[in-house]
Amino acid sequence: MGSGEMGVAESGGASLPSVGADATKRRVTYFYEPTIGDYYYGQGHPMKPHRIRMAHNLIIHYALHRRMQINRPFLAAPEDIRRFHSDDYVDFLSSVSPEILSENSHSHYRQLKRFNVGEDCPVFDGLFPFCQASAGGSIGAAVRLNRGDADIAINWAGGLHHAKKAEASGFCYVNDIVLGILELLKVHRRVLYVDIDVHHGDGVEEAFYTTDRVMTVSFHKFGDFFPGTGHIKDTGVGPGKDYALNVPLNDGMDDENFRALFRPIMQKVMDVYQPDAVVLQCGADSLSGDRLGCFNLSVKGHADCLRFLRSFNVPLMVLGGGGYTVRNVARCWCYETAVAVGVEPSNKLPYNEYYEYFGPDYTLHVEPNNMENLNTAKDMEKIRGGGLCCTADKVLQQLYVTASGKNLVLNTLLEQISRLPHAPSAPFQTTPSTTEVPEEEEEDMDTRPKRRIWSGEDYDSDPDEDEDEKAGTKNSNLTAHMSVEITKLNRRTADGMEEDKPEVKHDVHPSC
Amino acid sequence: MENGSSLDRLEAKTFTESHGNGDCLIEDLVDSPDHDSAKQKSLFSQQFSVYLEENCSRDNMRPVPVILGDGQLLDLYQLFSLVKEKGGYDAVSRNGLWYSVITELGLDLHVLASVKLIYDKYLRDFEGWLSKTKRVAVNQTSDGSLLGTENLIINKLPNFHMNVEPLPNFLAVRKNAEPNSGSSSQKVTMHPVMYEDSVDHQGTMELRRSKRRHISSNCRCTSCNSNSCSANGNKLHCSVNMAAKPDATEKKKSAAKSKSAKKKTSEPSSNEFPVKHVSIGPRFQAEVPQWTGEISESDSKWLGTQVWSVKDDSELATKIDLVGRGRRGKCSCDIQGSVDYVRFLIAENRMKLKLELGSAFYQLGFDKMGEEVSLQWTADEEKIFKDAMSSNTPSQKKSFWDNPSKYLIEKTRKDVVSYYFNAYIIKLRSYQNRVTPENVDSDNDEIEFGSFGDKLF
Repeated sequence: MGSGEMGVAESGGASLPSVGADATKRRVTYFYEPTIGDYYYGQGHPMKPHRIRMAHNLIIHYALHRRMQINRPFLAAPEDIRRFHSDDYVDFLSSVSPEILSENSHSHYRQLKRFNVGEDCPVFDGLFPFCQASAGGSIGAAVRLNRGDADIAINWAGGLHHAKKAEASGFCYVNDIVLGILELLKVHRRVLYVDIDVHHGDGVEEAFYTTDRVMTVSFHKFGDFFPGTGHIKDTGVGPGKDYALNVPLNDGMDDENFRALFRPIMQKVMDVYQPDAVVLQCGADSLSGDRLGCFNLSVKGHADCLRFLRSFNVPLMVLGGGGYTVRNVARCWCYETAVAVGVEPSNKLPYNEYYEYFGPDYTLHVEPNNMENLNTAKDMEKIRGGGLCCTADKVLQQLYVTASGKNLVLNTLLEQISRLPHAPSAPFQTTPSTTEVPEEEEEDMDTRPKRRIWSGEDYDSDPDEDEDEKAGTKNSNLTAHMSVEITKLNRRTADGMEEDKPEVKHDVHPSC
Repeated sequence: MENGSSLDRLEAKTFTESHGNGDCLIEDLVDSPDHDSAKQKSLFSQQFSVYLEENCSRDNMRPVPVILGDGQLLDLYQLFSLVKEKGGYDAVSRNGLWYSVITELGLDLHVLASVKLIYDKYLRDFEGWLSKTKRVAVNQTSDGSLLGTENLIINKLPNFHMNVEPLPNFLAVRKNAEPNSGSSSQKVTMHPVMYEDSVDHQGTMELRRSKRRHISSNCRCTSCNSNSCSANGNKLHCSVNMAAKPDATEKKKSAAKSKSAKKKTSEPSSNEFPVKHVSIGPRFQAEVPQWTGEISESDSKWLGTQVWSVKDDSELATKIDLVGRGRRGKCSCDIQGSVDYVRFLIAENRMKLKLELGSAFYQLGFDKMGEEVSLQWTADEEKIFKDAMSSNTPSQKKSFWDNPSKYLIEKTRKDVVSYYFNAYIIKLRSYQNRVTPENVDSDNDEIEFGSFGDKLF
């Protein structure tokens, strides 16, 4: 046993020897409903709440509970769910049951159609309590963050991002994320929502499409894929204009490409939007080998998103979501819990009740498969005319536009931010602005990119327009996106990030 | 086909021209000179009358035409499009845009309150009805919503079609344009196969493809039925695409025709599937209060029940070191332990955990995890379950899952689900891991499990 897998020291800054930027402890709270695993969508349905129990089981067997608080969620009541969902829909959800449906009346049939319940979203035994637990966990997580009880709040039963205000969709009935964000908005002025499920986070985007108090960013497979929304040009409406960001991707997305998009984009978003709280939906169907997904991310590549957002040290809610190869979902969410608490777990799974699910390797990490990555430069070039697949420069272009003062609301916002102590534009900040001791790298990250791209607080000035044009003339492919700004950005972040690649110091070798 | 798409563009254009002052819309236009707002308007009035018909029984009758207090006639269509353009009733109210709505309608400001009221009474619910009726979400302008429902209404009310004088040709073009049109209210499904009667997938890859296939055809159906896809898609995006790819319509045509869509690879092409947009309106967005700086208290009920708390740092160093530790001993690729040996090691770990967690062991649900749940089952019951799972016909299995208590009198559905995940699959996977390690799957449950069933127990 090398020291790497123990990986915890009590003094701040050393809990993750293999990681640079987020090397201090976070107070983590975790919600788990012990009955969650026995809810069953029905025979053959790919959504299996059991995966949450499997993840939980691994988490405890890795002893991660010693680094966090565990709560059983309060079940959200119908009136709590009505804070987002429409009355008629909540009435329906709270009263429907397989027994009632077996009566086969016409009005039931109409309601099922109206609320899109039936196919993807079947009526199953315990449907409503399941929704209550999921929503209760996410609202609870929000309240914990609101009260300052925790820096990171986890609810793997949450993340059901497809549910609409008056409609079920894509295995989701109650949108716990929207409810959680609404709770966060009681205390936090701006909330950032980030979605790395392979499917577009349409329910959350739609719910907050017209507000600037929530910015939604979704990375997803786009093109002939559920739910069909999430075009790069869908950016919000009214006051919410530019506060929805979509990063449409193609099949076979791998760790390297994903990271090359995720990090610079999120860095910019964090700089520009300056959220007071962040919600990360960790849908695990973007993992390699998912039953419904088509990306090729490893658990570590997936968790890198959490690792990166965690490093900003902003209150962070971490939610589940999709994920249909259950053993990998459990692996992923267990590893991400470890990242949250700042531990690098051993690759050799501890003996646990669900051990056989993880054979024949019985390891925490699995190799991505060698599927073709269609997000290649060549392919991007080919489909450029369609403007469908994502290129970092396009997204960044939107961010440049956002930041360049064209949007009055944001400009006002940025002015406000510039008066805040740790605003990006505040020149020569001399005193640490937070009560917590800032981590070296993080402080670095705060100051680095902001000044380089937006000079001071002068957001109206023309240089921004120049940046705009530069971004606009870049080639739309993954090779080209590594040009000017990104390259700069990467260079800037390189020091902090390089060591970020988790080094596995375990005694397990692929060859062994 | 060519007709259809040029029509799409044309509408997008004309509607925006006659109503749009939104820059974004104008930007995305293609250069087509025609005007078509009369059609838009008549479409609106038809839909609105269908709406009134459908809703008059449960709501009050609403007199049409609408006359304002000072005797002026209010054009509901104009009002509706203006408000939708500005983001819907809520957005207009929130952003104080009623003033400009009135001005743009060419009305006197003293009718502001009544116009707002009229919108509320007449059009707000209509807004929701429209969105409900159509299945494909559309972008912020009213053109999409209006266009989006036309076929739906036609399908819904077959006679209506006949009565509509100004529209039939227009609709005929549309219908022909989309030969693959299916049932009107079909929705995009996330997982297609599970309720299909004949299940025949071979592993995960096949399943994934089948999902795609299903969705693609479904999408197309949706697009045919509510032209919002094509209309909006073209307006916002395809206008660009089509310029870049002149053969786009050809492609779309062939894609729409090949129902099986088997030829489809995962190569994305902007022109082969419709683009959905975000719905705007009170039936879609969450109500987000303005930031006031005042912090409202949260109910402490949300904290839930604390089951476990972080032990303070004075805890024994040896214990701390165990966080994140996996299994010890042999290398992971050493000879696979026997099922019994692994069971023993699991039980050993369970005991340790129980010691550490105390009562939290139960609160965290560990008493309901793993093969121990099968201790509550008699051999006979296990046999019944195994037989049901091994049955080769999906209908038999379905019938079992529909009402497991019929087969296992003593067991609730929950018991059966618990047994399935905690005992049955573990047995199956133990077998797979040792006998067919190249082919393991715990998720595609129903199909492959049957074939293993006999060898298993």
